[in-house]
Amino acid sequence: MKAFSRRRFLTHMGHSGAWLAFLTACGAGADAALKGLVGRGLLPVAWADDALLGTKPGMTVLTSQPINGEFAPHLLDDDMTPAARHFVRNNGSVPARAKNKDPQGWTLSIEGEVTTPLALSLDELQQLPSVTQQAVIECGGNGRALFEPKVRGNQWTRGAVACSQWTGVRLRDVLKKAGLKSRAVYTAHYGEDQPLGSAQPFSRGIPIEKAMDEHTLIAYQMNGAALPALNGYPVRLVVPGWIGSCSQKWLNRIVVRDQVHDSQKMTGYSYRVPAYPVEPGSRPPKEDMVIATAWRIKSLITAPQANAQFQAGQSITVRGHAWAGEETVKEVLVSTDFGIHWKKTMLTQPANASAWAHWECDLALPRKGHYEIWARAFDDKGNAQPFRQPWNPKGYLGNVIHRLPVLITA
Amino acid sequence: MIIGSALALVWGLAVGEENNQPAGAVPAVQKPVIDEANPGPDVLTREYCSACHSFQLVQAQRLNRATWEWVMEDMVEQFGAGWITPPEQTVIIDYLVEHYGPEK
Repeated sequence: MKAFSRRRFLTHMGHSGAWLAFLTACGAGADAALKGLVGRGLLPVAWADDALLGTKPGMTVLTSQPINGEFAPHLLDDDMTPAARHFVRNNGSVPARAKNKDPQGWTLSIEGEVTTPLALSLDELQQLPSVTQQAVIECGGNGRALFEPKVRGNQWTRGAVACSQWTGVRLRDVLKKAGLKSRAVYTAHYGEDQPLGSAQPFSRGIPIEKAMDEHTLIAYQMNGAALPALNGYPVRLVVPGWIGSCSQKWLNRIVVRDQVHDSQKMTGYSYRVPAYPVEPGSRPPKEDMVIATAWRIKSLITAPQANAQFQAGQSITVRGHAWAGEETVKEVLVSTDFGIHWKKTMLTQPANASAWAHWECDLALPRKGHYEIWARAFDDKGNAQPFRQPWNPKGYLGNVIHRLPVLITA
Repeated sequence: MIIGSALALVWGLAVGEENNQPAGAVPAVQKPVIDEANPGPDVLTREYCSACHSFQLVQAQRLNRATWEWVMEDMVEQFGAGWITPPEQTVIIDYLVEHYGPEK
């Protein structure tokens, strides 16, 4: 199997650690070299980015190359998600700069349909007026594992979502500084991560209106500290309410375009959903797919933990978060009898518009048995979470209600 | 950086250009070297898929034939695995459907 070639390589190379240190010391070329070696089976995949997994204790790792991982709902109980528990969705390898926390030589360039192209250093960016806000970031594929029939891609369950605090500069301030031309309609984002295989560099974009929204940030701090390597050091976008791929990590270039961005990850079936409901399991023609944008109403039960045990009659505190893309959470109801009866919960408003709200209620189950606690959130526009997951071919925007099993003993 | 590039060249690798390269400029991914004369479907599948990403990604999925065929098409056409020959594609898809098909 694969071990042969690696073992042979290791025998040739001797001390693997020293070799890795040498590659790392080589700087920007090292990632490419490492990637090439991994790609040829000459290096254990573990050498590439695995050392960074230690920064996310408790993470359920879906893939280690590239790193993709989520947290079980009970680990997302904090009102504001700690950096160590923010999910990781990578499309390529983590840039050497992020691993080394080295801002030297980094610039953010603003190009395209602007009157004055910019190249800002981190210092220059940080001198602009700053904003601090919490924001929900959620992978567009969160909940994919709950689609039936099964759909392709990373099988995220419920934990590819987080609400941390972000500090940065409003994207619109930087775009205004560069001067938008009248033809500007869309952004195209690029980062320093190297794609796997021969995919195009991972690049997505947003309409100018969303880019000019006061809550859309170029962030350089997460929870008051520099961004973690896995979450985009030194700089990422934070596009509240929209699928996570809009919030480009390791950001170093924004091209303002005179048309809707047409990269690989904006076209075909990538980050796109059918324009109309489709038969589960079917694939509509490409022309009928539209870009996935804002999330819809959603909630998560963060306490108790799945399969927790309680005694009959014991008071159980049920709580969690709810968020609604660009809308506002109005209420969250819970049921313990498969939706026959619903109980109101106490809702605590979010820290700011782009953060998640918190809900809580106490309940008791009088008899022994196996129960499910269901949570269902409603937004201010009258939208609620569905009981069954509406289907789309790539499993985006999943927002089916959260069902949490608990065991009641006599 | 210079040493890094030189090193990569010594190893006969295509060094990734600086970021921001134009679309389509990335070379096809290196075909994995399999140290077996006649690799079985399991070895072929694991080695070819692992050329770019963890095999975990494959193992976590339960897809029907049409969807695995769709995945294969994308890998060959968009993600640089153009060296997977049509007969190999058939072998791999059969293997995927058998081992990572819908749960019955």
